[in-house]
Amino acid sequence: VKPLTEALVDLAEEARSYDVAERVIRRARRRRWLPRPGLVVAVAASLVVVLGIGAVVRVLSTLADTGVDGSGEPRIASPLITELIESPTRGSLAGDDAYTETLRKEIAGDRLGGGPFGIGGDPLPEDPGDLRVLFAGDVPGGRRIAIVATAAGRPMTATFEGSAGASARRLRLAHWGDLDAPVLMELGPRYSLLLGPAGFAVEVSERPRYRADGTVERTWAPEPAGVVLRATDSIPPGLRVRLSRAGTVLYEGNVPAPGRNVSASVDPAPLFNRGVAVPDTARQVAQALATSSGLGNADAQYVVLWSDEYTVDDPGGGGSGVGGIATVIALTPDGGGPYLTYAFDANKPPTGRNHPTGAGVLGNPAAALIVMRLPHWTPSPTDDLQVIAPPAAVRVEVVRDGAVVASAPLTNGVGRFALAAPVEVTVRALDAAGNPVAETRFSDNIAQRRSATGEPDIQGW
Amino acid sequence: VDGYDDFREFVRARLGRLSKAAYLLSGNHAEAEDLLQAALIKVVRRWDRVVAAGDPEAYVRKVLYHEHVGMWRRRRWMEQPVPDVPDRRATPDSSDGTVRRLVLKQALARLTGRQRAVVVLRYFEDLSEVDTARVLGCSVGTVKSQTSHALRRLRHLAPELNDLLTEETEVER
Repeated sequence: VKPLTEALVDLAEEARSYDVAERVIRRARRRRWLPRPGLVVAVAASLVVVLGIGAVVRVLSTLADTGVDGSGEPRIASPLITELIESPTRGSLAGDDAYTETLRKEIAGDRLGGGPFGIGGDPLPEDPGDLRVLFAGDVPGGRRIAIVATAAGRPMTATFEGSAGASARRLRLAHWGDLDAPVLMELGPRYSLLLGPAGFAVEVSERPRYRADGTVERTWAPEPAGVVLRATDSIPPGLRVRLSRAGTVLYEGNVPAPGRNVSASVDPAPLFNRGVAVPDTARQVAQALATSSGLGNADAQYVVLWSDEYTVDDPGGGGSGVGGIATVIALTPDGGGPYLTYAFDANKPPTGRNHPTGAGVLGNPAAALIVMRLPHWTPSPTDDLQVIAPPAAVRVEVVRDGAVVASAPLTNGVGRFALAAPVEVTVRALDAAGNPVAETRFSDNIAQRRSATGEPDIQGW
Repeated sequence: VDGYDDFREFVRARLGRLSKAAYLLSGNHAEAEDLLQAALIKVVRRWDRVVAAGDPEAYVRKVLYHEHVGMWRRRRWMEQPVPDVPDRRATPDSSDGTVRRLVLKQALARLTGRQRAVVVLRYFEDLSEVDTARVLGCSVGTVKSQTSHALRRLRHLAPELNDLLTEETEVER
């Protein structure tokens, strides 16, 4: 008997009998349409910077969701989601009742089956009166879209699409998903659309000012249309939207601009000789930062805060070896700016990885202290925490519950210490006399997702 | 009779084996159920053609393993830092079956999707390298290298399982 085979057979005894046949057959019966590939988007999202093509996309937290809760029961809409569902139609066809009525009759009872990820899909209600058209109209890029929500049964949305000016009967299903947030974001190839429940004040802010003390200053202006709809190629840097009612913020976050074409050049020499120059890595990180923040060389000076060679342990085998890592800031005339860290493996061409703690907003780079967990190719996080400190610092102390739990020397302000995740610690950078020159908190618990400009996304539901 | 009786019968007869394979690939019950459901949804849609092709079992296995690799890739991008790291005993007693099962499970969870698929196909399904390559749609050379990577990784992650992993030398000879 082969020992590994025996062990696997033994482990497999833990399996239950996953009797999914009837569920699978039910879904097969319902299916009538095949979706066309589309960018499925929602607000509860994490940021992924796709290097090389320079696009920014957001992915649903519910991509692999089956649409039922743990007990197997369908979800019920929360009051805020119900407010969204019952909001009047927005978009250029908002007043065209004949159009929306035709669309609802056309799609009532149709089946949404077998999503792009193999799971998901249910019938739309048979009664057109149980369907709501949340948005209908022409959007940048010569397209017309309609976003429909279910007002009965499991809360879902489905987006239908056609060429600009298309009749309701010519719209085709593009994608669908569970409606599990009261704010919807729809990212097309040429447009970004965000809408929430009617009755919330919608404000936008663009071109934030990054101050030398690390704060971000914004000016907000009302968005009278009540929805944010922009052509992606004209979205200004740092466009951010806020939905609020009676002073309570329902949502605040950046408006992504997938496919935005902004380029940035960078001097690969690291500031204060922190690390060694890795020019290709620095260039790629600067480009990723430019794409996500929208800041070009006219808006900011790109500076390498730290860079080094980076040894990658890729369990897949292909990327293992010595690659590069760099932290780059887009330093604006106000003295601060967003920064981003990426590591690249030894593949040709290299593939990059980030870690959420390696990005944010920084003030004066000569005084700032960054602590980040290093990107990893392995399924579990690395124990290594990287420090980028003011050049006068020669040592860091790591404090937890009042006790020093780690320390490390710094060379030109950079160094590394090991603490297995998850940790919540205070990190102090000390000069040669032992005086603190900077201090920051580090936590592996990323409670709030951050936008491309390093500002937190607020989801008040 | 609803036209799915053959499919229903096929799944019923193989549910135990399919469930076990899905569990070994996924490592937990919820994901195993998702995986099996996703794979069978793809199969049922073309069931008539699958049957007509003559080997539905091979087809189902192929879809299951491809779905597993695809799910692993998609979830990797969605991963966030975990709030806590699973504990591992410093010196587990390898004669203790429960501990060995736990250690093997944790070590399998740290393989890539394809490595895990290769291990399950080769050592649980007991397929040859040629048949494994056929299921995964890759070359025999890739199966060999992935097997080698996977076993080396398992040995690195769980040295206490070394007694299980002696087959690597046999594979590479």
